[in-house]
Amino acid sequence: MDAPEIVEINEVRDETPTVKTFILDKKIKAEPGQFAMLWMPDVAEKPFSFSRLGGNIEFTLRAVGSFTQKLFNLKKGKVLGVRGPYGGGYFRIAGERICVVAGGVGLAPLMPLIDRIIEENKKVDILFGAATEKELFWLSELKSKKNNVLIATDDGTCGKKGSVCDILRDQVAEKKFDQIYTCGPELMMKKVADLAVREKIPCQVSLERYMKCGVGICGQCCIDPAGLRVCKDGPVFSAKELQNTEFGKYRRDASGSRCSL
Amino acid sequence: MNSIVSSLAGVRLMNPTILSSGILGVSAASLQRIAKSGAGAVTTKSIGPAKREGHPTPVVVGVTGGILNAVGLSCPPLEESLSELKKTLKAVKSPVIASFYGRTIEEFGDVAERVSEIKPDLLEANISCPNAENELGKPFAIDPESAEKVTQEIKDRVRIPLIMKLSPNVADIASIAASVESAGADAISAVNTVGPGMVINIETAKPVLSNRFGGMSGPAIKPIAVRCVYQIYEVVEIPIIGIGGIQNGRDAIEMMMAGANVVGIGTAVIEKDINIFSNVCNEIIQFMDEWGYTQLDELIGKSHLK
Repeated sequence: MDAPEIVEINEVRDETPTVKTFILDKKIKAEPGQFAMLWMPDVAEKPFSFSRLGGNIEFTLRAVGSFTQKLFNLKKGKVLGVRGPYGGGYFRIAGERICVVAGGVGLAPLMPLIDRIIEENKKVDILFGAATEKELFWLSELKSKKNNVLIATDDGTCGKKGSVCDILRDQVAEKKFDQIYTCGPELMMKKVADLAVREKIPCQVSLERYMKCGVGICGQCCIDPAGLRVCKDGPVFSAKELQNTEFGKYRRDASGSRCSL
Repeated sequence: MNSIVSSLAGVRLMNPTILSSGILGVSAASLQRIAKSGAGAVTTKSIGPAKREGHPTPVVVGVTGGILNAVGLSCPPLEESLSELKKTLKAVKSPVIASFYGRTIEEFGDVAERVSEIKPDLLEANISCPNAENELGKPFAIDPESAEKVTQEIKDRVRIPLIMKLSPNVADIASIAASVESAGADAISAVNTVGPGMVINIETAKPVLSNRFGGMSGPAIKPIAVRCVYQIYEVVEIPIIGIGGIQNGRDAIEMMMAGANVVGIGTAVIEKDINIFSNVCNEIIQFMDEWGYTQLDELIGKSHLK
């Protein structure tokens, strides 16, 4: 196991009012869906999936808690500690007709996957849902690759009004997907995973849990009832593996106590 | 044909490898997975008297030869820990060791009593965590008198076999081992993490761990653990769980030759993953075959001059 390596922030990009991308002065060879532990000295260390690989690594985050809020104050030239890449379960490319379902900032960990799908000249449908139009990002980039991009917003300010899961339901009825990939709020992913299992479409889900070590020993991020570790066996699991588990129901906090989603 | 069936304070283990406390022991599901993967017994993360989040992250950092950790005794509320323990006992076929701690001597007794109501196979009193000094004071394992008192308190209140987990960070571990044995301990776990140590990141001039200091584990501490077990074996009759830096069968055998009846494995899971338990067992069997041993008893304490 490594100690964090100090890396400079090369650029900070605003994506939406609540989402920023941090481009770091470091290249890491990693797979789509893998993550790193980001350390902000005097604050904390938390896991984040890469939002861009290949060149300098990028992390695209939403300000949700005290850690990300403090991170958002960091400007170009400041430093972060990085250790990783971690995650034995990552997005694996399979099938020819691929559907990616993203909820909000859940698009970020899917981006290295989308890049790779496009590199392999495969067809991908991207279904992207957010609360409102202002929270959508990377739209022009997604569309420029001639992918089929369908949008849903909770308030109907862009695309279809409602959940991205509604679009998925319609698309699955129309098309024959070989593989679905999803990342977003857990209850959304649960709906996507359930639909995929029902329709017998292989589906890969990127899960988030409270992590302490990131290397598979502390046991904090284990999933009931099989004891799969999100940091080491995941963070990407097949929808099938997650059937009849705590996925979509509860998670554990820093103490190890269960809290419902 | 040789046998690696072991026993610990009257409890039968299919093999001498034990998952140490604090590793993959938060949930019943995780402990069941480790037991199925081949551990002879599993130890829960230490159960405490009240909910604790532990220290803020970072709580683990890699160093040469191992890691430093200062998780800080995180645990759910006691009732929830007990219900998870109940689930663990139902799910795990192998013996389950319930690790626990208290903030005072009396509280060690209180928690022991509550935990023993769930009837784990063994209890392990964690009197040696080096990472909660700010809140809990010096660990009881640092001097013979307080180690003896806390052992006495627990033994007065519970009947389940009691393991006392000792600290290597003392001048004379043998005297502490002798004192817990005289107070009625049924077994000794040796050792908890070493140090504590510290890592400072030089670019930022900041300590990496939020607790600044953390206990060291991993291969670099093995010689210290082997020496501790060796010294303890000289002065006690009760069985010893040898813990510290074990990564393979050879390490396990070395620990047994120092005097351990069984061995604890923890940090090595990072490098070797969870099939380490069955790998270590296979390597022990292979060594026994090669060198003509038929029982583990023939190895235990073999390095001591008789």
